[in-house]
Amino acid sequence: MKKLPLLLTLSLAALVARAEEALTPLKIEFPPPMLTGTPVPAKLANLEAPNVKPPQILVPPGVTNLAKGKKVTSSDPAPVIGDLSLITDGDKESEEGYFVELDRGCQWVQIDLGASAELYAIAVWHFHSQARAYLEVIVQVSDDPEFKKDVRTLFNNDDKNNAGFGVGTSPAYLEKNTGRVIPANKAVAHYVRLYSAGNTANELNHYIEVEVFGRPRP
Amino acid sequence: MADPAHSRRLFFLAAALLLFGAAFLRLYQIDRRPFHADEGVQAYQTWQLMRGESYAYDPADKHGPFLYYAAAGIAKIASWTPETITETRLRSVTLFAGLGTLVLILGAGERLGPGAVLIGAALLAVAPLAIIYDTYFVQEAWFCFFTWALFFAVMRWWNATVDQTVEASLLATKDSREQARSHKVAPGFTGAVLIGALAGLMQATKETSIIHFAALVVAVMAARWSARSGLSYQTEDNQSLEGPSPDGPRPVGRRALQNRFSHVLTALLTATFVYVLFYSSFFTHWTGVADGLRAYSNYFSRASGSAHDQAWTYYFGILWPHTNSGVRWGEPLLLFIAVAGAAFAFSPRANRTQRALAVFTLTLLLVYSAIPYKTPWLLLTPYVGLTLLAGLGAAHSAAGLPASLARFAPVVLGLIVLGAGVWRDFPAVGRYANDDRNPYVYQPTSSDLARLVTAIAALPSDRKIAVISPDHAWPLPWYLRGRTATGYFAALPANPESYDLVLYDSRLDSPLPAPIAAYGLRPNVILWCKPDQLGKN
Repeated sequence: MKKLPLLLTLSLAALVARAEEALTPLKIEFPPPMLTGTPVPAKLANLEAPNVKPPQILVPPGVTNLAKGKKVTSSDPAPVIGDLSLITDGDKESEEGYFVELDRGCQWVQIDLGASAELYAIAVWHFHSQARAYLEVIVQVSDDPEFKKDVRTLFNNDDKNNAGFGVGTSPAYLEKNTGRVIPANKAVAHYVRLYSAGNTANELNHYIEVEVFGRPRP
Repeated sequence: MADPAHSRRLFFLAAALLLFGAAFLRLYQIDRRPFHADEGVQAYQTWQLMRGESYAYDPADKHGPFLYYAAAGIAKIASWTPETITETRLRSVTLFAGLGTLVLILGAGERLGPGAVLIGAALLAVAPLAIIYDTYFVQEAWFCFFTWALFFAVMRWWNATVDQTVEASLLATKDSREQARSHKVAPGFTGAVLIGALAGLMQATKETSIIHFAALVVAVMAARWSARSGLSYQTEDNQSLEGPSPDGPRPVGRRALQNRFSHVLTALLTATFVYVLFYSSFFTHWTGVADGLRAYSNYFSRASGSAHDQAWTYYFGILWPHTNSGVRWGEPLLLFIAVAGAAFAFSPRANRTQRALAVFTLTLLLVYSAIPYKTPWLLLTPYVGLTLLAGLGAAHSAAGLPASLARFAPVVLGLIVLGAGVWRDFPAVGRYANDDRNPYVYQPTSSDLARLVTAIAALPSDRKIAVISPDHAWPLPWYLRGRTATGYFAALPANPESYDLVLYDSRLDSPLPAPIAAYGLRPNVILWCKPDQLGKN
């Protein structure tokens, strides 16, 4: 029994020694940049966003695309390429003639659903023939055409609050042919407004299609 | 009859206005785009050179040393330090070359005609391709400048020495030997030194200078052949010659041959000296001299089978009317008038320099079109030829018109083509300056990269950063050059969690963080990271 303190002391000393040994500063490698030639064009066959599964949204009978053929207005009323009606014409191709191009900076498009409706999901296709992500994507609904009152934000990935609607926590996402489906959680609204501020490939804003799934208020 | 002195004053006034306008257009958009990946690589090497890190020529996928030494030299004169060089300052180094090319063209009025050079220079001044690549920190603007300087120097030397004999004999049938003797004063030795220096500088700028040398030889020989084979032409001082002398060309004397040989030797020695000077890093890295020649095996292998291969119609396609995802492009008017200018160059009213210009431009276009490796900036040198041919075409558009209309035809046509060029500038250097639908740019760096650079700049300087990208995400290394705790990896490192910020290239099959923030690098290439890694200070 008299040897026990001694054994304990020796064990403790060994542990301390090991702990000190483990405190060696971690060496991190910082290889310098390689001086490369002209970058090779990247062609991605798979435009599906990695690590992202589209959400499954359950809807009751009678839910349809309320946006089809509806009037669209925008912060850029005279787009250089395409026109605003393309956003609700039902075509989701990415080629020329299917998309509208809005100006640089933060721009919005707004869909007038014709009447207040119970919304289940909003699907948006910006541009999907190239791997890119649109920046500061914000989706809002309201009964006010000016979006000054009763505004509810359904999606916001503006993580720096550049648009001034608060810091967004929604993720950035890669554009793909299946679009981005945003749950609307039965929000009741007459108007849908979508914002963006350029994309990772250029400074412009594009829309191919926006679908708003819902049903008229009972 | 117009007063020659008055005409000369008008020409200088127009030339000065033109240069001022060209400088304004280039400076207006000089910082419109972030650095292209290639610009980043060149700027990084210049920065290393300015920091005193020795430069050694690397034949693998690099170009000649001239640009780095020129930039470092200008930086020294302007008192720029490695800490104070910026993208705009570096781009101003190539701006000198772009404006220099315009000065060269304006200075060729005697040989090409004052109207032709004014219209040609104006077209080049507003050309989107020239505006973009005159303010692009890559070798092309200087390469283009040296090429056209060599063209005019060779034509001057050739006209004044080699073809004196032929012209003397031809003129003898028309006028007197006296006229032949007073015809030109040979620039001789000085001209040979200038030609050699320019050829050496071309080689020190880009190894592909051999293409331009070959095209120049073809042009000079074709112009000489056309003169000797009976095709009528004018001398440089507008004396019309109707084919070869009935007596045949006068035999070249021994003294003339010796002169020519000594000129060629002088030019070769000067070119070799300039080549050795630059490739040996000013006599400190002798391996570079051999490496400069070894680079050709690399270039020949890259000429085809690379990811940059394009159809032979690529350059024509840039200028021909087309639409790319809704944006209209093309410069058909320039093409048509350039073709008219080329046709004029083979008419009896054209002189030898005009004829050589047409052959040189056409040869360059054909050779560059035949090589599968293509990028838009390679079109710059032939494009200068096209604008000059268009200038010729417009200046001589009055042929066949009534005298009352003939006076205004060149001005009207020149203004129409000029207007078309300016109209093309709006999308090319404005709205779509950095868009891959713009045919004048290639793999442009996304403007969105500035967002990432700004976010990283807000982080403390000791933050450890890992950039995981197959090509090291250029031009990011340039923008992060001051951050020593930044590592570049082609694949995921063993300990990514040891870094404060990890940037993943979207081309890599790496597990991505969640949630993710996206930053654009190039078309189809995105850099991903954890948003909170950029937010914590």
